[in-house]
Amino acid sequence: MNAESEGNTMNILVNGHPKDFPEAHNLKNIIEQLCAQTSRVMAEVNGKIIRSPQWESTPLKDGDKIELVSFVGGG
Amino acid sequence: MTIKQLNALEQGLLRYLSQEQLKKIQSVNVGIGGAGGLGSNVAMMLVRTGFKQIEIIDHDVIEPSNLNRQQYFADEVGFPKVDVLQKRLLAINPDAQITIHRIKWAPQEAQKYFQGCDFIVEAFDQVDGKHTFVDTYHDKVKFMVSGVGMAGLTQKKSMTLRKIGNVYIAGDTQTCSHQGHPPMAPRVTQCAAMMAEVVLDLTLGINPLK
Repeated sequence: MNAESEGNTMNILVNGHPKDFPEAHNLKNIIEQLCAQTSRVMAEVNGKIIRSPQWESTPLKDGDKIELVSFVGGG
Repeated sequence: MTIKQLNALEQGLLRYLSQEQLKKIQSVNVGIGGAGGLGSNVAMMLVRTGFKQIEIIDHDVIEPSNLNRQQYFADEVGFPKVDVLQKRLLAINPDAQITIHRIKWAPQEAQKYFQGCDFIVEAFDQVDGKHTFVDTYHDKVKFMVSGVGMAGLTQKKSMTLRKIGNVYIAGDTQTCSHQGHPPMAPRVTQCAAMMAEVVLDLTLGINPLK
């Protein structure tokens, strides 16, 4: 979906890369958009780890920095 | 350190480290979840580096398929990993305190383990266990180190070190060993070495990300 079609956008730095999202998107929306298996994702917003139960209640704003890591098996 | 007789490892380490550095290393408690490809290699490297207070959890016995990358020998197949690893670590440093738990780690019992650890190392194999382990402990410890993505033979991706909150993640973060990418000694050991280096760096006040 084109971010512009939903109104205002915000620019978020995801793993060091700038990306535009609709301003209404919360952390959960963004992770669902970017990650295939959200149950394996660890997320950080502006340096702080946010556990998955709090993703939906985590609003984001223009300029926020997100780091996402999707765990894979092996060891 | 001057009062007690130094053992051979400590004597050797003092050729490379200052007394102050070794003292700092020896004062640190490290917990390791998993004694397989990552865990056994991280533990061996840490003990060789001077760390002597290590707590390890693993429920597995050694299998033939472990011998390609884990610190176990053919005549040890069938023995519990933690028992053999403890013996091996004490052979490097007889004065080390190696606490072992032969259990299958579960988040419900997380508080029983790694009390007082300065660092906790995630070294499990299964993806769900890795994630749950990090999710469970990251806010109960100063720093965590995790290995994510170290498989691959014909298709390989560069390993990096990333920091998420207080969790350092070593590996390519992409290559799953259960999707046709075998976990082979060079890459698994490389990832384990990156993880051990993070623990050493942080112990000595060095920024692991440089």
